[in-house]
Amino acid sequence: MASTKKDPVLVVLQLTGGNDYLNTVIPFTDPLYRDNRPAVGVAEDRILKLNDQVGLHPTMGPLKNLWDQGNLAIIHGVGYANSPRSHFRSMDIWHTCEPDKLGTEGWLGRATKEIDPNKENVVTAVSFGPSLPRALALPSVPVACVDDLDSFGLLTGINEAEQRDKILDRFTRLYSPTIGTGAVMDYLGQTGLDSMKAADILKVAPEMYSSSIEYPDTSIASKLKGISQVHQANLGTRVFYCDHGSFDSHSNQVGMHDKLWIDVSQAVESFFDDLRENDAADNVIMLMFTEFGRRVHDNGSGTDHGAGGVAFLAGDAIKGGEYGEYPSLRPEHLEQGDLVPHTDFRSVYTAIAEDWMGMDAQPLVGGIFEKPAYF
Amino acid sequence: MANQDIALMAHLMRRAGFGATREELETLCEKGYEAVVEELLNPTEEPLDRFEMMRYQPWTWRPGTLPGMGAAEWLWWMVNTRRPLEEKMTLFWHHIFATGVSKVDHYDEIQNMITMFREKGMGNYKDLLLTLSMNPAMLYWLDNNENHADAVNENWGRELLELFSMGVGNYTEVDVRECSRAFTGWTFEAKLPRGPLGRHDWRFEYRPEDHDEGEKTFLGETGNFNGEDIIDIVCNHPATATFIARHLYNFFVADEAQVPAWQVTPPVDEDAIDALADAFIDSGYDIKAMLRVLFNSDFFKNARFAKLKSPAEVVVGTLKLVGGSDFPGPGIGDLSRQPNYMGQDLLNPPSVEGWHTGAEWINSGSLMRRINFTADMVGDVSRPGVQSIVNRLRSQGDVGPEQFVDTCLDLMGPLEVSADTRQELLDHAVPGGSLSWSNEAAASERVSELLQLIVSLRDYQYA
Amino acid sequence: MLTQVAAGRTYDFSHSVGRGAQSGMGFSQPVAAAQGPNGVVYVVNRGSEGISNVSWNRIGYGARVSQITIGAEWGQEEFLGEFSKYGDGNGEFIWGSGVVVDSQGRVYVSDEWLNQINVYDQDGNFLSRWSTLESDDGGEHGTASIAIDADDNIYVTDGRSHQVRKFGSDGKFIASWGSQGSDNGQFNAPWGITVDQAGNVYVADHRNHRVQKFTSDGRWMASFGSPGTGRGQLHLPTSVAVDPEGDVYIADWSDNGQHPGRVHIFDAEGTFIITLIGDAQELSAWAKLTVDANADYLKRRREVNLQNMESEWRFALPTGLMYDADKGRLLVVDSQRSRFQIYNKVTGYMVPQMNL
Repeated sequence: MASTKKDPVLVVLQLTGGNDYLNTVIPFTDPLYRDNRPAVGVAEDRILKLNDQVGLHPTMGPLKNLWDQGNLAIIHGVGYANSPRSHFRSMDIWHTCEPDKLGTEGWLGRATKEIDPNKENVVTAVSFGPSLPRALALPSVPVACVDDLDSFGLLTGINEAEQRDKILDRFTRLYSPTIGTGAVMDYLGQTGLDSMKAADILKVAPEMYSSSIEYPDTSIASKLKGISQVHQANLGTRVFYCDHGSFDSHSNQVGMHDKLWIDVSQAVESFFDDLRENDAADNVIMLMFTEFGRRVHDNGSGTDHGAGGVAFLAGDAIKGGEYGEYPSLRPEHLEQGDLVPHTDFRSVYTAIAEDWMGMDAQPLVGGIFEKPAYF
Repeated sequence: MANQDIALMAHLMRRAGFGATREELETLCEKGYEAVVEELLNPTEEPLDRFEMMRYQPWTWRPGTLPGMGAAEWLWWMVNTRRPLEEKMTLFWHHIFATGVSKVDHYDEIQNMITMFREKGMGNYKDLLLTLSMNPAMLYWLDNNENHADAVNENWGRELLELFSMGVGNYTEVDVRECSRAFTGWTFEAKLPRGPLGRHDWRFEYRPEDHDEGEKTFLGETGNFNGEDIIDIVCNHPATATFIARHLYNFFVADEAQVPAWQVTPPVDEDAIDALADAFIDSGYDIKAMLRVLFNSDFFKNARFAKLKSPAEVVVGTLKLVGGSDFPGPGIGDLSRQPNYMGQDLLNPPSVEGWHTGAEWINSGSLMRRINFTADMVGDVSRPGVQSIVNRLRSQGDVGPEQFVDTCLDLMGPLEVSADTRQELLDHAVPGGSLSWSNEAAASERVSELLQLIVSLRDYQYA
Repeated sequence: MLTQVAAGRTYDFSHSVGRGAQSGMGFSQPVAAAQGPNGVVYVVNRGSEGISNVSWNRIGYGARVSQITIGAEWGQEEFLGEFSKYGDGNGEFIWGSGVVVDSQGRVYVSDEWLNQINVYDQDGNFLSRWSTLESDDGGEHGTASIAIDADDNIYVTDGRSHQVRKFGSDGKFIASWGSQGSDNGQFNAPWGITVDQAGNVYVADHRNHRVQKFTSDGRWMASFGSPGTGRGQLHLPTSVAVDPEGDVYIADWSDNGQHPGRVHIFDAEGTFIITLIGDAQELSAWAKLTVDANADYLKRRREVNLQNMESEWRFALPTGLMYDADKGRLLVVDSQRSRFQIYNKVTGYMVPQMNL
């Protein structure tokens, strides 16, 4: 558990598109790495070495700082058996914890329901992005999906503030329980008022926020800044979700992967700097995951869909270090040319749920999994 | 023209299509209700030309797995078709035979299934089921390619009985097994992988050597059945008639209990279900015969605003209302994402059970999306459909707040709202006084604002 | 058939170049290509819409101009670089639709949505842009394709106003002709356009299923093809090219299911000679890289039957043609397969004995 009385908060940063494990945490002393990466291999002198075996991609300096501070856990070889190598299906599996059948409920939706069973707080879970990630999907669990915190709300197309206030005031009256009859009308009314409430609650976050940290001008930085604003406003949000991508580097991987990790690393560093400056870091951890790693051998300009990947946990409460072995690159150990995962992603979720959120993990992840000691 | 005629025609077009503009409704009213129903059932207008889409948006030809973009062509089709019921039935079958890119991983294959629904969706149910049983996306979605003579996989066999024909409670586990055995060997040919040169079609393949030739006993009948025989038996079962009838009722008439509850929850309107089921049986499984009964029935005509719009209906209906989406211009991919933001990711349903409908469409996030999308569209007075509403109001000259509100409600449906709601709208309009066209811009602005408020109403969420 | 012999001509399939890729070595919905005096081939990639929260490329995946060289044989192609991207700023385009190179090596790329031409130097540096619209233009416009004559005059088709427009290389309007209809000199959604050595203009009259030939000032001269999917018939022609001998090449979108695209060859008098349907039985060098790196791709390819294999050999909605007079060969922009199929026009071909 967190060593503080503040409620533990989880931030999930999804690296959409299949991040290339081999070029993120690089096994630079393994000659097979060089053999398999004639086109997209990273030169050894550029690698940010963590020890005499692995190093981070050269653009991940800001994350290397977190590592040096002991606040970054590298989770090797994460995934699940029989990876389908499909973006959609793989992402669904990560979201629903259902590798064998199609699941419709998300593990974080279940967690949110556990945290707030009576829906007392409509912003218990906040996702930054236009659509609800399946990880948060569960009927009757409200999740605020925010594109942009500054323009979040109902009828935001009406520009003139006074006019919009009048309309929203009218909206509240029109959705009040005194108007309309029948269960569905009542439900619609309540839901409309919930939407208003979420917008009203979240509106205060940017107003209350102040920080000396300048976030970079990137989409992932603005999402993490939004998360920081909501978190620091103490609105009771316990689960944050955002994503960045696309990491689907079939071609021209070198430039593309560099840019992606520059953006993510800088944004994540700014985020934690911001939280620390404002004494809001000790109850926050961040999980970074991707739906699969990429093919071991490159295709001349990029890499194709693979299996085993790498995940990261970051935060002051995290015990930094490497968890698990780097999966073998030897041809006889690969499956269809891919790294074989040895750590089930649900064991990572289990550790987060039990050792951080203080919840029973089994109903969230649908089984019992060994949990590494990340905290 | 009698306003009741317009209201009824608007109801028909909302349900049997995706709505119609006031100009279209007036033309349709002149034809008469029953003639319009016949035209919907037997469309004479040309289908859309997909080469138009391929010329301007070539990526829509085989969209592969471009995240979220696969429904762009279909969205364009729904908005622009001149054969609205055909398209609405296509959506209906996608609700029932819910197949998703989450597993299939080829948008193009599911798009092919959509095209098949368009061609066969108002035909014979037996023919449709048989074609579906040979559809590669469906075979893969429900694992029938893993259903072998020596190793039966029951996924397709079970869902055929549970979700596509009779519903639970009408067969035993043994029937599921025997049904699945009959479909062994129904699979598809190996196709070229997606990379590096794009997608290729999957083709159905029947492998006699992988078909279980043994005797099967299914629903009390015994023989060396193949898949066609199973479909014969299933279509002939009275539960199938009722099952399809309930689906049509829920989709076209009024929100019903969700499918998993059907075994224990009787239909809202038993007589209606019986009438539809009888049409199915009497016509030899003709879907069109059922639809003819449905649209001409009193239970349909009296069901105005008795169901919540699905996200597809919200988006397509709004785009039709405001106009300006006939050319497949840039941004069509983003438009096709809108239903997803409201909880209906077309071509990617959450599971083989499809979407839960009715009130289950609504949560605080999806409601906000519905309202904001619709309000942004009707708030754009440059859109031809909005212009047309503004012009109609202008043609009335200066009017008082009451007529202003009533005319807007009329042109947005006609939308029927409670007296309290109307009073609130009136209270909103009164401080602005009469709608005066001496200041064009200000008048347009007021109209736009009132339309935005109207589409935000709870009442507007109903079809 | 890899080699086609007819009417004293031989078209011998050479090789294919390209693969699907949103950047780098490959193409994304390539729609047009042109070769500069420096031997560089410029390829306009239409790209696709997508959701992206990557700030440097909003929603136009893969939209760009690729610079490559294409050698005489398989595997000699080289990726040199790429320029432009999705957008409406200087040098950017929303719907890239055509490309030509002028006598000075400047590259002109047409934009079918913004109705403008971006001009770049031979290395892809932006020089200028100009509109293909006139101030009094109403209605809808779509600058569908572009051609250039020996004097660097620019011709564009407008697929939505059913016109051909002629400009100076600086964008100064010179003339226009055509209106919607099916009479001689009228168009229905014209698309591809080219100029022959004599300065005559050929237009792929897409929805009239024909190609029309005009003098440089727009006087109607002739029409090629009749509607249909049979021999020598055209269905939705997209592009046209003419070689120095006057043979006319027309790409179309035959609605034949298995073969969604053909290239028809006519002689200068309009006599039909032969049809190509695509022959890429061997993977291009870049495509082979992808397959080699994906063991499961290779496995699956070996399980595929002949009929399914064939769908990869054939054209899929080709929308561009380029005749490379230097090397005497036809390059077909095989748009949906993100590649070129290349045919050598062989002279002095010795037909082998039939009883071999």
